[in-house]
Parts: sequence; structure tokens; C-alpha cells
Amino acid sequence: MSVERRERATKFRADVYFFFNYYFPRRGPAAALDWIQRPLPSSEKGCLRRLLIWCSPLVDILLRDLVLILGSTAGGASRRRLGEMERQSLNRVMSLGISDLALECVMGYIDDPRDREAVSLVCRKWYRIDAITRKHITIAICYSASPDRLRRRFPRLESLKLKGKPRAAMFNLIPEDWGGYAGPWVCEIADAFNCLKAVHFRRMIVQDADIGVLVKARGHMLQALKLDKCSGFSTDGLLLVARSCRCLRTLFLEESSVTENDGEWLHELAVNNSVLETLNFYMTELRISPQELELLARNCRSLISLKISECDVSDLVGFFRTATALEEFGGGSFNDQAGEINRYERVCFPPRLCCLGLSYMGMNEMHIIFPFAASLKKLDLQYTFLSTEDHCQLIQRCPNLEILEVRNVIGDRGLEVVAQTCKKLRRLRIERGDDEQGPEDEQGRVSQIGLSSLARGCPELEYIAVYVSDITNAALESVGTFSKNLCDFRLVLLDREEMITELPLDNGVHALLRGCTKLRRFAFYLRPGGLSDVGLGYIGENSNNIRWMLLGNVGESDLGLLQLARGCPSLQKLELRSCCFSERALALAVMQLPSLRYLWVQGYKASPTGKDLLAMARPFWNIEFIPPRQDIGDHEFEDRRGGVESQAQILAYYSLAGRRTDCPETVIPLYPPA
Amino acid sequence: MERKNSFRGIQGAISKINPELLRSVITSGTAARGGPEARSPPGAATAFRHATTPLPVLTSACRSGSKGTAPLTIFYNGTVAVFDLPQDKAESILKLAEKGNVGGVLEAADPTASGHEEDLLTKLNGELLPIARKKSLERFFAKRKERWQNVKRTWHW
Repeated sequence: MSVERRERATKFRADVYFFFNYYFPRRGPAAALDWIQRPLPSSEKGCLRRLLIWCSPLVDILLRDLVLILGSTAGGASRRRLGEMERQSLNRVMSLGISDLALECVMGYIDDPRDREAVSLVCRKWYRIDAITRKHITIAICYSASPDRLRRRFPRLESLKLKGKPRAAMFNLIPEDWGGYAGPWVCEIADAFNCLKAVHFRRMIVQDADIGVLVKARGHMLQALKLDKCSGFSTDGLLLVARSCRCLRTLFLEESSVTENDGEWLHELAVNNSVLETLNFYMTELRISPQELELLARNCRSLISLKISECDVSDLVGFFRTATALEEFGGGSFNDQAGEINRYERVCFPPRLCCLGLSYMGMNEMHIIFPFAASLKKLDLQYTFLSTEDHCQLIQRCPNLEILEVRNVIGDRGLEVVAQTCKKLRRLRIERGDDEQGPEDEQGRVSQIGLSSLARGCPELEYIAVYVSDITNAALESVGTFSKNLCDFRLVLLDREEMITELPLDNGVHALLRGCTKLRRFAFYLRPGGLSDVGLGYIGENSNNIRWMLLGNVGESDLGLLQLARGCPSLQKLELRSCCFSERALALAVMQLPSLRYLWVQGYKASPTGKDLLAMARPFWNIEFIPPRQDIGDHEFEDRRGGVESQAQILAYYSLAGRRTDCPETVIPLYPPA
Repeated sequence: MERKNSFRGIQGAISKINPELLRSVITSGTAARGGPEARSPPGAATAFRHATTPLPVLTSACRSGSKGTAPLTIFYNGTVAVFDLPQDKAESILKLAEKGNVGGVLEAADPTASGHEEDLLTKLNGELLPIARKKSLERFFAKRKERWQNVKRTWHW
């Protein structure tokens, strides 16, 4: 039983005791049931959630049984059968005859997927009730289950999120035809999921025909459709959505590759919909006209978030005037035409705007934000042309900033300003600048100095992602000391500088992980010599809550990986890149990590025959091999990278759907010899 | 320098092998052994059934070498390499792989060729991957570059 599970079981028990000793002294099951079925004030919900209606004179015995059962169903153990003692406890538990209706009532309050998982493993009755009351499911990799299985288990699903391609696809490392087809899922949704209101496909291949099937079956009920970093569809598909989904509140297409067929989709959307709240086609190449946006603003009075593709900001004056409820805007563009000095002076942003990201904005236009900079909560400067000094000027006017996204042009100096000004900052992303420096990039380096100031100045930080040019152990220790709320930490050490002030980072990462106990996601991408095997051991020992890890260029030998694998009790998803581990070590690590359900590796030491990799072969574990290939990524950028070769990849994941049947040429599934 | 150039040339050859050829070469191996299926998943099953060979070294039949050399295809560390080598060099590489002792065998090899082989094996043994770049940012940088070029053109007038 993992530490976390034991803690939850103990808390559960304490809560139930509390409930019985203070809320219902001696009043018995009938009164308790009656009370549970009434609408609950929210302060009592937390306690009751964990109670799960077991009110009975046998409470003491029951509690011990429940703790035993819930505790024993940790991670991989769920796949094994219950022992004799546990079965006896179950019989006792089940003999109490609490009504299914009551159970349904209470289970409706339980949202956390891990609580739900525990609940579903208690007994068949609880499993069934969880299955029919589950509202949302996220399937982290679409090949881990079949659509049919999803339908059989959760027929009344209201919201579904599916992820297809591995995360590495965002970095052009996965072949476009790898897979992740929405087709089979859409068919099942159309057939069987009668309660589905929200669909989110991420990094999947969605075709116009799939959209057609989806909206034909569920268009009348669909409230949210997100095609997030997807490809395979065109504006014809969007037209179908616009015409059939009149109650759509959210349409999200960010970073999808959409074929432009000169459709009137935005016009149709504006005309057919009046409840739209969020529209996002940011980072797409969709062509729209400002008039269509203005029409949308007129018809959809609840529009609070709009993120668009390129459209000159000076043409949006009408839109901004009309969209009075708007709180978030992203995209647009600035075109510095010589001769039109005051082109952007007329732009007047809506009064409630507090989240902003303006593409291609430069120093000359920056001041149009100043009037309302103080009310900004979220600012995206990743796609601007601002220098270090510009960042300083702008950010010092934003004391209420909670989310900031920039490139490393912000520099240590900019981070100093952030540390002094943005005391409420919760999320900070510092992306990597271009190797070909722009005129604005001169001071664009982030180092241990900036990171330390940041940690000290912004104690509310929950998410830090940073590309640094230099680093020390002390800076990581600062993060561990001051950033107590950190849930997500990602650090990449850039490879341009030859000398780094202090390597290896063993002690720094040790202090960071010891200090940031809430950490659930962790990425550490260094260079050879950046982290020793001892350092990897530190990571293993101090990652109790970490679910996802990306490690690059870490460790010295297989020993390091094995030490890592001895720890990391909650690690579900592991990505390794450019490390020196052998197949044998990878296989051993996989078998040892108790919660691991997904592995991605690029850059490793292969065994001569590859049979060492098959040491990780086991039931329900799919292993895919992507051989090295040439010219990945968009051809338009070929001049920048000139036909890059990439090393082979291993992708492995648990699947209840069996072997993939839709692998392209570029993906080779691996199975042990029969 | 010359050796490095020739290695680059070989690397070029590596990248020109398409997965299709890879698959057919692997499959032909299975077929020869009387494997059950020639279709998917061929690549996987085959490479790992070669339990008897120390290295899945397959000689490609479709290329012809010159001066008594034969093409030698090596799968190693997730990369594929094709070399035109004389028989003795090929054998020395095979011995090297079998022994797993890079240093020792290299010393024994022909001194003029040893540098080349060393380069080869160092390259094969874990070349550092460049830090991957995010698609969205790449697009932005490309557009930024376009704008500079437009500006330059404007200024020339």
C-alpha cells in the first residue's frame, strides 16, 4: 500500500468517526439516511463524501474493514484478486442493505478520480453505482481502452477527454500518421452515449466525416467541443458544427491544423448561436474577417473568452466595442506600417479584460495595454517582439498578475521585476528563445539569479517552467525553500553555454524535492554531467506525489535509473530523452515502478538483439517501437533545420484494448515470440 | 577530416533508408526462417527472434559494392547504418560486437582504418540529441524572420 493511500484511508476513518461522534450521536441509520438525502450544505460535503453512507451499529468493525479494503486496492494491486480476509470483510460490509438510491446520492458528491477508483473497487454494487454516476472520464492515451469498453462501463458519461499522440508530438518528434484516430470513438459516442455534453480530443486525428457523425448524433446537446492540437479536418467540419450545435458554449480549436476551404463557418456560428462563451482558434491559420467577429459579439452577449488567429488589432476596434463582457483575448497581430503612426491608438479594450496575449506586439504598441495593466491577471508575451527592457516596463505595471508566459528574453532583470511586482503570481512559463537572435533578444538569458529572485519574491507559485542558460544548486534550493505551493516544476538547461556555473545538480534537486512536497509533475532536462546516479536516487526517494516526469540527459549509468525506479511510488507516466540507459535497465525499471502505466523513451543504449527490451513484456502492456527517420516536421521550416534525423523511440503503455490494429509504417509493435 | 566527411556520407546513407526498405529487409529475414506471417507486425517479431545471432546483421542484397567490398547493414542503438566494407573489416566489426570490448578490438585493427571505426562506434553509441523545439514557437520564429526580411526589403527602397 503506498504512503498516499494509507494516509487517505486513515483520513477516511477519522472523518467517519468524527461524523458519528459529533453529528449523529446515537440517532442511528434511519435518521442518518434521511439527513444524507437532503440537499447538503457544502461544509458537510467533505465529511460525508468519505462516509459513503455506512451508518450502522457495526461501524467500528466496518471502518476497519473499509480501511482494509480501500487500502489494499492500491495501484497495481487492484489487478489482483482480494485475499480471504478481505473477502470476509466484504461480506460483512455488503450485508447491511443500504439502498442503492442512497448510495447513488452520495457518490454524486465524489469527483476526484482517485476516490472514485477506490470506491469502484470495494464491491460489485459500489462498482455498478460508480459506473452509472461517473460524469467525466479522461483517457490519457486513447489506445489504453476501446470505445466499446468505455460504453459498457460508463454509459451515462457527460464529459469525455481523450488524448492521442504522445506529448512529444508538440515537439515534432512523432510522425503525423502515428495514430490517435477519433473515428472509432465518435462512432461509439453517436451510438451510445446519450448524456454526453462535452467532448475534448487532444492531439488526435479528427476528420470532417467524424465531426459530421458527432454533430448529427449529439449536436443538439453538445455544450463543449474541443479539438485541441488536432489535425485532419477542414473548415467544412467547422461549418457542420456551427450549423448543428446551437447550445455550444465552448468551441476550442487551439493549435489544430485546419484545412482552409474558404468556409463561412464563423459567420454561421455567429448567426446560429447565442450562448457561446468561449471561442478559441488561437495558433491556427484560419482566415476570418473582423466583421464576422463583430457579428459574433453582437449575437453572443455571454462571450467572455476569444482567442483568434492572425487579424490586425486595429481592425478589431468594432469588435472590442461590442464585446462588453469579454474577459480574455488572445491572438491578433500588429503590422508596423511606416506612415501610420497612430494606427493602434484607437483600440479600446473591453472594460473587464483581464487576460491578454497579443501576437507580434512590439515596443511601439505596448503602451496601449498600460491603461488597464493593473487589472491584468493573465499575460502572454511569448509571441511578442518585446526586449528585456520592454518586459520590465510592462510587468512593473502589473501587480495583479497571476499567470505569466514569456520567452527567456525576459532575462534575469525581468525576473527581478516580476519578483518585486507580481506577488500573486501562480503560474510562470519561460519559453526558449530562438538561436537566431532577434534585435530584441540581446539580454535574453535566464539563470540562477533570476530563478532565485523569483522563488523568494513569489511565494504563491504553483507552476514554474523555465529554460535556463545557467544554473546552480543554490537556486534549486531556493525554490525548495520558498516555493511551498509548487505542483509543477520544469527546468531545461539550454545547450548553448559551454560552462555551467555548478554541476552536478544532485544537492539542488534533492533540496527542491524535499521542500516542494506538493509536486505532482516534474521535468529535469540537463546535459551529460548534470545529474549523477546519486542525484537520480534523490529524485526517486523524494517524489512521493509525482505522477509525471520528464528526464533528459540525466544519470551516469544504469544504476541511476534503477535507483530512481526503487522510489517514485506514484509515478504513472515517465518520459526519458537522450539518456544513457540500456534496454535492460529500462525494462527492469518499468517492472519495478509500482504505478507506471506509460513510458516514452528516445535516445537509449540498445542491446544488440533488442531482446532485453522484451524483458518488460507482460499482459496488457503494449510496446511500440518507432524507428529513426528523416525529415520530420513541417517542410516550410526545412531551411531552418534541413532534414533532421531523429533517433528511435520506445512507447509502452497499459492497454485493455489489446494490440493496436491501426499502426502506420512508421510504428512497429513489439511482442515476445509466441 | 576526410574520415569525418566519409562518415557524414554514411550518415546520409543512413537517413535515406526508408522504413519500407527496413521492413522488407527484416521481413525477408523472417521468411527465410519460415516465420508464420510476412505481414504486420513483421519488424518486431523478427528482430527479436534472432536469438542466435549476436547482432542482427543483415546483408542487403540490393546494393553492390566495388573493389571487393560488400554492403553491411547494422542495426544498433536505434539507428541503421549501411557500409561498404571489405570482408576483413566487416569481420572485425562483428568480432568487436561479439566481444563487447570496443577498445581492445580497435587496437588490433588496421591503424589507418581504426580512426574511422572509432568515429563510427562513438557516433553510434549515444549521440546527444538536440533539445527539441516546440512547434508553436518554431512557427513564431519563422514568421518573425519573414517579417525582418520584408522590413529589409522595404528599407532598400
